[in-house]
Amino acid sequence: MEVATAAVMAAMATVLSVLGWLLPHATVVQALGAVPFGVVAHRHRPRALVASTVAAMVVSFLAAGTGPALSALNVAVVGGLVGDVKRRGRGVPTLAVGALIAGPALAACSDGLLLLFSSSRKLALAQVRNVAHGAARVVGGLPGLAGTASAIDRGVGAAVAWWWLTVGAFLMASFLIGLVAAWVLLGGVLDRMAWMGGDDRLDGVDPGAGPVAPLPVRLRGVRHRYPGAAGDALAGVHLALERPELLALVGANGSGKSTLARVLAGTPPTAGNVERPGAAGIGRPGGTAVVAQRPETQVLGVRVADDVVWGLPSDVAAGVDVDALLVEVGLDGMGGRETATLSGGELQRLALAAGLARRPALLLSDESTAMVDPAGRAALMQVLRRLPSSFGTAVVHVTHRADEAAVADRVVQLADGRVVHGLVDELLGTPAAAPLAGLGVGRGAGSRGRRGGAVVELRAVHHTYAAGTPWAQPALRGVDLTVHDGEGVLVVGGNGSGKSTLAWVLAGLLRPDAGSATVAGVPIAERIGDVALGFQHARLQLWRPTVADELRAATRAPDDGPGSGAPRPSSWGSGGTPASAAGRRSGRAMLRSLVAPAAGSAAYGEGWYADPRSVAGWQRRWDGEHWTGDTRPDADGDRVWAALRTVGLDPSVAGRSLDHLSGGQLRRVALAALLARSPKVLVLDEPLAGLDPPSRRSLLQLLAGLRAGGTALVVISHDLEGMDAVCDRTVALDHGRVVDAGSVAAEPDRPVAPFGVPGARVVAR
Amino acid sequence: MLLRVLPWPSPVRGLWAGTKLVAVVALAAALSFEPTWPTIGVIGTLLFVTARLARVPRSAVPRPPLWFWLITLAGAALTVASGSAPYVTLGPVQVGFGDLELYVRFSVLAALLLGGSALVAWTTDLGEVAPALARLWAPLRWLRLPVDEWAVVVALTVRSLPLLFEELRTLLAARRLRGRAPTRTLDSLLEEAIDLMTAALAASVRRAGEMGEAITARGGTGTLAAVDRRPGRADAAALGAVALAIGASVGANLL
Repeated sequence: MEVATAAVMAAMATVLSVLGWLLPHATVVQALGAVPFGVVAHRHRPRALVASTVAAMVVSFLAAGTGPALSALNVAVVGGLVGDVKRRGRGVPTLAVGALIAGPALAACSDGLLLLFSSSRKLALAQVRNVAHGAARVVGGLPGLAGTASAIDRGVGAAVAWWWLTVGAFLMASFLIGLVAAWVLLGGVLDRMAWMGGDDRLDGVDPGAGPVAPLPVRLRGVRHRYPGAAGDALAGVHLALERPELLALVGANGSGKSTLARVLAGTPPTAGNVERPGAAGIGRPGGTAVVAQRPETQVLGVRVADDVVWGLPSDVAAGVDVDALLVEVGLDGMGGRETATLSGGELQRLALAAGLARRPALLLSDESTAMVDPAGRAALMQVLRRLPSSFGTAVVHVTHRADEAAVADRVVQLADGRVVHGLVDELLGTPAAAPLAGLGVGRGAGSRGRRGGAVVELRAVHHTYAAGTPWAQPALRGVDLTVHDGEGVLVVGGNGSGKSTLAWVLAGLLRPDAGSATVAGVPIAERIGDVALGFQHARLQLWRPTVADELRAATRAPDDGPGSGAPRPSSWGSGGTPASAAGRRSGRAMLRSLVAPAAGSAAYGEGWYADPRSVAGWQRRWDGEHWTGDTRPDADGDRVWAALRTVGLDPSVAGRSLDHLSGGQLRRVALAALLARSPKVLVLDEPLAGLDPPSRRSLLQLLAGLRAGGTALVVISHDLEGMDAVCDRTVALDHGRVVDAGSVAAEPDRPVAPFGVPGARVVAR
Repeated sequence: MLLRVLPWPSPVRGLWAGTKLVAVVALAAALSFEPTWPTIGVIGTLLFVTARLARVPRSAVPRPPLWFWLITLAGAALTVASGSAPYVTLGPVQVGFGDLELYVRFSVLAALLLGGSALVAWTTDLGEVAPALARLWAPLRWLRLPVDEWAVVVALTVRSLPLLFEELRTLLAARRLRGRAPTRTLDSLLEEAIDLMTAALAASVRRAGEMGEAITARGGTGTLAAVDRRPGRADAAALGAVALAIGASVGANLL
């Protein structure tokens, strides 16, 4: 966790340093680099900060030489100092002491370097003097400016002569400015990230001492409750896993599936009995391997072959037959590929190979298929099915999908932390089809008749990334597409077919190299916002601390000032409340008000007040002594309320932090923000990826509702299930060309085998 | 086009990553220590030959935007205006070109330093950097520095870069889709900076968590690369050439 944070933050600092270095007008960006270092220093030991600094310097050097490497060092000192002071809970005085030591030290180091490389120094300083001298002569030639010019000239001359003082003073000054900026920025960022603990959910896993032997394992009455949680995640589970088999673990979100997987991986439960002959040995040879949900972050190596052995002790790594493992998972001959170029399904199979390199007795696949396209899922399932016989590995596969459970040797279903029987069909069901039937959108000819005029038109659109360089990568090669008013278009295609590029072109974020992309006859790139784009990673589209803040910013009328549109916590309690003074308040007052009302406001009468612990625009009832549970929006909150209702979210989420929302809720908030601008067309990139069946169903319902309301939709998805209710036309892309445009074929009926019948059906098609 | 390997093999690409790192650091030091025309000539030639061997096409070199050239020209013009011997009479005006020599030398020097780094980036698989560093840093173990940890962090940093690029690209695109705030005060800029930084960092912290999970799932850190590459004969030759070039430039400066 520590090295991971150090690395991720180093990467961000590197990008900022290099960008700031290469784009002189973006020098400010460089200073932002202090923030990631501050986060490292705030969360981890100084040792992690050092490692992070070294890494950022090395990679910056590789990218653009000594300059950005030194600036990375500089911001690391600034960020490290600020982060460390904040971690110790100290204030400005401590920071000042630190600055008094670090500032002069930095200046002295620079002077020392300049002394050492004296010829370069003289050369560089000569440029400064010459340019200044030249400028002075030009300016001095103008009438009346001769005196000023010669004064400037003399000043620069002196500054150059006393270079060690000038350079030192300049560095100290910029160091101080950087420090103040970092203090303010980091303060803001850390406050908002305070809730984000270590997200490493395997952190509590006990690798176990002694011999590794995870199987056979017997769970008796296992209960687990997370620290601070109100209820048990597992409420008395009995389960035995004795021989190599494929066990499917199914259940709704929050039913305890992942917790159970973690207990199997070695997390000690809070109560109950886990019997196994030795240690679970996560990641150890012969122990337990884990493949998790998100493909990109599973893989740690830069090249495929490297990833397979990543982290193994070198003697074990030497004995691993990498090529054979890659064949086993169907990645034959890809050892030299860079992992960044793999598709989601390939990445997951690679993670599987890395697990298998440890010859595990037990393999836990925690929703490893959730974010993968159908073809990738089929290939992955095929590998998982083979493992019990070919590797002698017991596989526990956590999934939402009925067709995956169907091929398991055994299915165990969880509900509310308990193993249940007989509900499987009902819970997994066939998503989307039934509840949408009544909506009557997008089905057959009826809706097609409602198609209006063309809104967005793409004509022979070509786009190539990095055109004209050795890395040129054509993404679109002549795409024609017309989106009509109120129409629903489904864009399908494999990895690298150009789907995402198409989305960017549709939204006007990319100008096509050739061809035209217009909305109502105007190039889309000049009308950004007319076509809304919802990204798969919704969190990146939402930046405000809470849902309400986000939606207020999004729903603000164009003529509102920024202040009225996005009031920050400083306007909490604008409704004349027990807690608020009028106008803006300082951060300190804000903090005080968090504690104050409970203690000091008994003097206020019963009524509706803005609750400082709630959000701007929201009021709660105060019964004279306590806040009651009742809430209502004030006039300002009405728009937020309306926006939430549009996307079917309960208004109670308004006060929540964005980072406390589920994936489905995040996408809805993003949708609400997009819809608030009343776009002509709504483009959604993989809106269903990673959602569990109930969330999928309700999101599809929402989309169908939007269609019924007349919004034109373009959905980019590899997930066709239920899409026929939302879209009435399919455009298939392959290698940047439209290969097939037709109606959405309903997902071919899948013969789902009765559960628990081993090998009833092969998933691969 | 930073940190991208040319998609074809070459003799330079076959070298051990450590060799190229040592070479570029040594050459940069030599250039900075004696930034004279002889040094620039010798080292520039070496870099040029290496670029030919590495089959670097002209299209790989980024094309600077117009403002870059304008600023460069403006600097040159002001330098000429400052004037110093030798003077050349151009019609009615006497122009001193002495300082221009310094200006050109300085610019060429900067280009060479940048070019050296770029050459390494164009010819080195990023995955090879961390294992090579671990080997190069080995002597530092004597000082009880945690060099293996550093190498792991470098490896993970390199791995995170493409993911981060993608996230930042999305983040900036999302910001463009939102449109601009009507007025831009210092307060609103600061607020926006905090908003964007928080969104980027929130995504990063989450990724760090998942990466930490992946590391735990692999039983901690250890091997970084499937093939443990060591310097070979070609590397010795390459380092010899670098030493020779540096020696030659020192000699040329003494003459």
